Amino acid sequence: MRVTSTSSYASMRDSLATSLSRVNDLQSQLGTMRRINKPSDDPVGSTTALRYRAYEADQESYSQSADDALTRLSGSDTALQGMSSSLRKFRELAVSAANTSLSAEARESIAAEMDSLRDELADLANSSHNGQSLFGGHATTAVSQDAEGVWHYAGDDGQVQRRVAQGTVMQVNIDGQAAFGFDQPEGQDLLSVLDRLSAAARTGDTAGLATGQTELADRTTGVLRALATTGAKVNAVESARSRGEQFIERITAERSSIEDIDLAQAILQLTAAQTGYQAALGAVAKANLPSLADFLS
Amino acid sequence: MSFSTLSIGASSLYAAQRAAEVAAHNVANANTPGYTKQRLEVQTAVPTPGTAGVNGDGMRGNGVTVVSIERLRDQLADMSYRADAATSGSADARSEVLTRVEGVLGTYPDGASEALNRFFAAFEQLNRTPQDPAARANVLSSGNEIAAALGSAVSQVSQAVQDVGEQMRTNVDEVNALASSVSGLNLAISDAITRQQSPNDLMDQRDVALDRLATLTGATARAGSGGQVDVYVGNSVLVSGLTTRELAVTQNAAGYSVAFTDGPAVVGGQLGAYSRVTSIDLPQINAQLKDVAAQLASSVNAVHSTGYSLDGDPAAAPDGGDFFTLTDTGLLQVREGLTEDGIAASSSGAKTDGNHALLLAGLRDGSPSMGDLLLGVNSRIGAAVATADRDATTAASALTGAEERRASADGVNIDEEMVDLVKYQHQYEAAARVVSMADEFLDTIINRMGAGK
Repeated sequence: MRVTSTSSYASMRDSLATSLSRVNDLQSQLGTMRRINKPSDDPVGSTTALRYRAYEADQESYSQSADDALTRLSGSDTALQGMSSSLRKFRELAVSAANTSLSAEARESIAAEMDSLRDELADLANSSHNGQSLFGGHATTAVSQDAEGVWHYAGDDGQVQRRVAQGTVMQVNIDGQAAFGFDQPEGQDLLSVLDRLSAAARTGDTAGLATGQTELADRTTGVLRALATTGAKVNAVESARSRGEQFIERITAERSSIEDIDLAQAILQLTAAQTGYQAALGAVAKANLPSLADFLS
Repeated sequence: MSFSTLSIGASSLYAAQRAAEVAAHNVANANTPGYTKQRLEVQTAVPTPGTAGVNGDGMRGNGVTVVSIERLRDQLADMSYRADAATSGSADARSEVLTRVEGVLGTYPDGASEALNRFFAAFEQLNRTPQDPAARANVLSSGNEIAAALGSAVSQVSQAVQDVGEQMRTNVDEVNALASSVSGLNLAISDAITRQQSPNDLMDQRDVALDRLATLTGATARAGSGGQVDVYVGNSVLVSGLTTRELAVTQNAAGYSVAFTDGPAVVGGQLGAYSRVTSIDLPQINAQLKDVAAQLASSVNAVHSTGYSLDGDPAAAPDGGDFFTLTDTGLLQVREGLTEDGIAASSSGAKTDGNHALLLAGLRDGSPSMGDLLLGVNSRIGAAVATADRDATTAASALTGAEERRASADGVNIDEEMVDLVKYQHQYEAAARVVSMADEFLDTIINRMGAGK
């Protein structure tokens, strides 16, 4: 091929531009430490990486929801544990009140202690988290006493839901209606039973105390069942969260392999590209050889 | 010895001078774009018939004559260069425009996709604390953010269409100017040829104009009569000898296109790519963006309107209403008048109920999944830009190859010119020697011979 000054300068210019643009690309990859810096660098890879980033962002939300669910459930657990131990004390009081040799003062003092335990239980049943009742569905309180002293379930059957992992929505509230016996025939709820026991203790009504103790045992089962449900929910939330976190660890590793550069390899490539550019520069400098004109006198 | 030796010497002196001039002209234009190496064509002068006889008197040589100055142009290299220039002009233009709109969804990896993530995360937050004013404010501001991200993408694409339209107008003006300069050069060249001159430098100028026309419109040139060329865009005449037609940009609903002022045109090259990209690619991207906005609005609204606001009455019908509205031009907006308390977080009307916010957050993975719709736009833009870039790179390297091949055929090699200069310098010296020898001969004959001495 005949070499002319236009063709040789064109090829010099081309080789310089090509090798410089290679150096430039690698430098920008090293600058961001990412192989993909715009969608066109890898249309499929960038879309996958963006989808994985969305999963990661979602997981952050799910983790916060799971934390919230766990706080809420641990509040429920504490309240139910407290209720269970109060109920144990209440039963002991009921047993001691059945002793026929007790004086009226002694019975009165037992009944007064029972009343204060009942108030404590009613308070625990109305526990809340962030202004939301733990056992009353979407209502602000779970139980209330009307003017005639009759206990009612003040909550609703609302379910408090949290998305604790991708595609896993869980109910994180305990239904107080079932836990406290408000789903039983009227007067059979926990607090009414406690009221009747305290009245029987005050009056020394042994028959009433005996019936009340059977009823109390039934209602205690309800609280213990709710406690077991709470424990099961805590386990379920924790396992869903750890599943989600493991998934995200895999996703993050996968995204990094799609999106990020292999540092050692990138530096090697950059060194090679810089060497290539220097070689091209050298070639251009050398190509500026003397022409015949230099040898003519 | 006759006087003809003097005139033979003179013809040689003249030829050597002219040849040196041509070489000097070549060296001077070694780096002039579009310049074609020229060469002096010489041939032996018509011999003198003389008297027929045995003394070798007939057909005596009469020296050298200059025939013409030739231009070493390779037509085939021109045609292949212009075909590659048209392809490269088209691929470059497409890649340039698409690269510009690549960033409309924001800088990777931030941008609209992240805004959408934040929008749905805000609903998850609202689910946890439905009564918290901060969580409600966050939903509203992230809703505005995603609406603004999609809106700004649409308006950037529309702006790109307009800017390319302006660019096309400039290019079409240039094409019309080039066409009239080609016809002007046609006139000058055919004139010169009629007068038996070699209008080499004018032809070079015309070839530069034809190269540029090929890049801009994919125009092809065919040799006409008397050294003129005809230029065709598609299969229609742009320049025919001394007459030209004009191109103009027309704007229609789909975008911008180019046509002759007196008929349709099939335009290639840069203008063809601009016209395709403004009437097909960019409107498609905008349609996809608007589709994402419409789907987002309809699915969020469908759920939002069945929920209760913070002040909603559980006994009454759901009062959530729409979350988003679409403008007449398909842009997404958070419904005007939607307040923080108006966001429907509750499914039942109870203030502490955040279940509706959970449903809204779940739309991300719904059918169609909002995240995937937006990613679909991202991957389509990305793939289009990547393809266009690859095409442009391939076309550019093909063009460089064609340019080098053409330069190799018709460019100037300084060494060759130096050799020529040396060659003609020697010829000149020798011719001068011939003249002085003839002078000596004549001196001998005239001054030293004869009776007068």
